[in-house]
Amino acid sequence: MSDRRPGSARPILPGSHGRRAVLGFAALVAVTIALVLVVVGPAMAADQEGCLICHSDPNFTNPTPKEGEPTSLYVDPQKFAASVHGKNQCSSCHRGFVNTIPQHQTDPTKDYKQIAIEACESCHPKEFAAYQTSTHAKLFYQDAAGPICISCHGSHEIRRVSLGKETADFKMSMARDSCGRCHKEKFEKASHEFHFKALSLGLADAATCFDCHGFHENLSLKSGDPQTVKQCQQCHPGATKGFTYFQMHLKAGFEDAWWGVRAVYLFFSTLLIVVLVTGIAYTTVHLQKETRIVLGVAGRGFGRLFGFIRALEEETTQRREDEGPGPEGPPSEGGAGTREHRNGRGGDE
Amino acid sequence: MSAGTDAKEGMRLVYHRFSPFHRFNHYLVMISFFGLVLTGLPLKFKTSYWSQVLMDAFGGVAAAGFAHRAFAVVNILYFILEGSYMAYFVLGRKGPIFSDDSIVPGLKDWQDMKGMFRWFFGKGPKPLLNRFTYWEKFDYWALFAGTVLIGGSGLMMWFPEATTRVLPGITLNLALVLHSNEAFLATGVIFIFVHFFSAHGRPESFPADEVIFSGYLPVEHYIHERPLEYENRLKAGTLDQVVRPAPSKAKRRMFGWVTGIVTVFAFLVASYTLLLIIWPLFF
Repeated sequence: MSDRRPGSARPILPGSHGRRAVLGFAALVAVTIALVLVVVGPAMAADQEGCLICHSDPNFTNPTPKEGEPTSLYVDPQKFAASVHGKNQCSSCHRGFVNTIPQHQTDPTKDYKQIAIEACESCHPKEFAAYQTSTHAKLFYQDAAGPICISCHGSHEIRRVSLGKETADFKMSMARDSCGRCHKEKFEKASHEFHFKALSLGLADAATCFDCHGFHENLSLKSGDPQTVKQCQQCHPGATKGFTYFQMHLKAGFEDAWWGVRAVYLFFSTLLIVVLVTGIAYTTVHLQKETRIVLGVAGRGFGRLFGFIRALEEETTQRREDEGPGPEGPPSEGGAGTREHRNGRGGDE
Repeated sequence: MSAGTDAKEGMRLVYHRFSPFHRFNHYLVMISFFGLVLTGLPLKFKTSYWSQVLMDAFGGVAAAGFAHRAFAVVNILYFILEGSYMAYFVLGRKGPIFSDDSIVPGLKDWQDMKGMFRWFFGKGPKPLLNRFTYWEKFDYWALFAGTVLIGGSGLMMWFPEATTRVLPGITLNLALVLHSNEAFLATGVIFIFVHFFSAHGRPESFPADEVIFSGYLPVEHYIHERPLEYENRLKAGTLDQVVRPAPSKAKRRMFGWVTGIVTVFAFLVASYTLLLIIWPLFF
């Protein structure tokens, strides 16, 4: 304390504005650095290789495209920093790239997909082994068109997966954006199913695609298979073979279900319409009648709502009272008369 | 003669229509029905904005699921109680099963219905209605059948492992379709049309018929509502079995409050249900 005080109290340069100005300038610099660190820092921190100097430019494209439109080489630094690999070096995945400008793959014959899965495998061997058994892998090794790790997980925006602790929203978006992107019909069908409904309303425990089909194995589950029984047993420990015959992927109208299910669905849909339409009609008529009797005064209260029915009815009643039991009333006679009259006139002309 | 005197007496004489047992059962039906509808329909109409609101209000899907099962237990309870009462009534020969007084539908109900339709359109007098009208019988048996179907399919889905040990897995698909559709039908019938309007919404009882909560109604209402039963009892001299002095003012006020609270709640639940169903059609 005593050492520092005299030094800091004295102006640093003779004739300058003194300590306050120096402090002010220092503060300005500090704030600027802090701002730069906060905004750009997280992104740049990982970029010790300087890749993002060029690749953070949204307009950065491949300068020498092999064919057609130049492909974008843009990497969003913010998103990358926020991703689970945000602290990794670019070259930890992009292997075989040399840091020259313009940089190139050391072995340009190697497919980028091949490089990608090798990169994933080196850190995630267990997951990769599971993937190797899947239909996805089989398709990929056949003609390279099948999905690889990054097809589902994305590349620069890979999100952290904490098994068993994911939120319902996360599971839902993984299912929709990863599985549902290719398996559109299956996803559409599954979303009518109550596991999915519960998930979409926020029940994180509810099963979605990968809870049954496995995360990397993407098992194709057939009813009655021992494998299917095992998958069901993860949540339903008492599940037996019969349990697996429950159909999870059905159309909303059950067109593709067993005819019995479709029949029950159609029966109840018809019943619903019939009962409700009859119910509305009946209740309306019943209530207006009773309401009118109780209120006892024409044109007041509820009765007015059903005025058109009441008017009809009153006309009928009154006609009966006036004319007695005779089948023809004066209005019809009058109408007929007018018509005759007109007809007569027409005939004269 | 006697009718005139009774009418003049007003609330000093009341007609006892429902025993405490039946009122208790109606409370159970009401509680379980409201609960099941509120916790079940959001899953059916999950695309509705209001489903999420209600689910969150319940504290999540898991909590709503638990509540749904709890209300299902109440449902089973009233079903067992009513079933036992039926068995007691039939086996203990407490009364004739096929009579004018019975809840079992008969020829009279068909004639009443035709009569009512004629009356609606001014083609005849209002038929003399008995202790249970045809729409009340419809309500009762529809609920009975609905409880068997919804309850049965619900239990299957509650215990899917046990169900599929005995029955094929497709049974669960059937149960799901049945449960969902029949529940929606029941909701429509109870809330929207038949029950709320024909039992509670009629002008004599609007907005709610107190009789199911208190057990009695003013004797002049009785004579207006159930003329045939009244006539029959008058002839048979059994009117004193059901017509008694009115309970104390405090008790009457209490039943008024109960009815009022239940009515407000029922109105809210019904409005909410309608909102839930109608919302996805527009938004």
